[in-house]
Amino acid sequence: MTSEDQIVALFAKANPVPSLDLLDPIEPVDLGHLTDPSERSGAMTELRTQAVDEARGRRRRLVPVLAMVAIAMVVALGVLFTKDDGVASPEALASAYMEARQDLDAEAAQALFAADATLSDEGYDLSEMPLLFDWYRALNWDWALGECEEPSTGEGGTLVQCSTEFESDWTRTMGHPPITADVQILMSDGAITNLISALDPEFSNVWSVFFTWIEENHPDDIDQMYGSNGPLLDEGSIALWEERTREFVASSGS
Amino acid sequence: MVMKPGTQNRQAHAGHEARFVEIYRRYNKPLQAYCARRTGGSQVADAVAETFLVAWRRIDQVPDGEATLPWLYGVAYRVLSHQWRHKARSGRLMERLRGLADVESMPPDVLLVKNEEYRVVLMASSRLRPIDQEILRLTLWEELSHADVAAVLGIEATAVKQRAYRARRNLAAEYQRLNRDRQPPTAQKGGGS
Repeated sequence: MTSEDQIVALFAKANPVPSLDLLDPIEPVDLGHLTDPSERSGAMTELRTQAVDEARGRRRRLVPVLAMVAIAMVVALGVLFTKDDGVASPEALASAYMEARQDLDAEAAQALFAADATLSDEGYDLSEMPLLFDWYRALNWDWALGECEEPSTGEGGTLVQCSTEFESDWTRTMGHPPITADVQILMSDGAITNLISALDPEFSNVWSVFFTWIEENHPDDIDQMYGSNGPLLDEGSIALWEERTREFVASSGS
Repeated sequence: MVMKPGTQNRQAHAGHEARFVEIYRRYNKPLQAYCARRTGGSQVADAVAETFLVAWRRIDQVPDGEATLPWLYGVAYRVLSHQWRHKARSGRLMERLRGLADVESMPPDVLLVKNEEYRVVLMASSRLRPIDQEILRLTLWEELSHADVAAVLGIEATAVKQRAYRARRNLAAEYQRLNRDRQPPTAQKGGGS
């Protein structure tokens, strides 16, 4: 029987890049312009433009009125509030978000966010959450709740991490087991201020299978379905995602 | 001395540029290695580029000294967490193993066994929760301390310590389970028909 230490050592040795010397040189950002004083400002402008393009979907938009009204509704309903000061406990807030996500109830989910919350790492804006949930719905995306961990508090607020699994028409059609995902929920003053979802990298394979099918069968749809940062989130696009997913399921069964 | 309007802005801008260039030069390779350990192909360059773009945009928030690299890893972790959204995806960790054969100087038969062991242990790790996988990689491949791992993932160092302990135990259990599953079925001694 191999001991735990031996297996851990084996994992350490399985490092795909054990030495920096093995790396092929890459030039991810053209620094030639940056180091040339005569072109500095132009290069930075170019970089900034590039950054904006690259980070599409990460725009900071404030939705103060909507979120405040929604939060007020939650307060009025008296849901979630377990402390005397009327502020939701981290555990209750995290559970409420995960349940809203499971129910694909965007309105309830949005109501849990701070007015100036950003979803900078999620690739979409808070205002786009209803469309994202519609996209989940179009693909029959089912979230199964896992457990949330004990909250930990740091400089940026209180963090609660919850585990979840999901299936969709894609995974079911491919016979793929549910995909795990960890959701880190950052909160402050009883409202969510940021989210980070880490999906199992295995999902990229599922994603690729469907993309390849679209490429082969409906190449003209790609620009209407895919943005640079994931699915395009508008009503027309979501309807197309639903239709093509239905076809994909039917074709895989035939 | 009276400064012309905008002089201070230009000086600050030049300071930012100088700092960014220094960060880039110093951490380009470690960051590239971090990404190459987690994805493959052109996605490595994309992830490195996007991470540096974030660093440039948030240059005022990039911590100094030894905290810089964990901060960059934290950004790269988030960037990679969302790479599935991009259209073309094929890079998988396992694919990196194919490249190992070119750099290791072992007899072919030994190499075959080694690569198979690596494949199984990586497969075992892929069965752990994503954050536990990342903790194993950060501690064993990037060789970060628990405090630095905490900085990357945005969680407490004590939580990292507990998770690392659990992740090692689970890795061993999954590895042994996979090895058991791979054994050919043996004839039952004195078994039935």
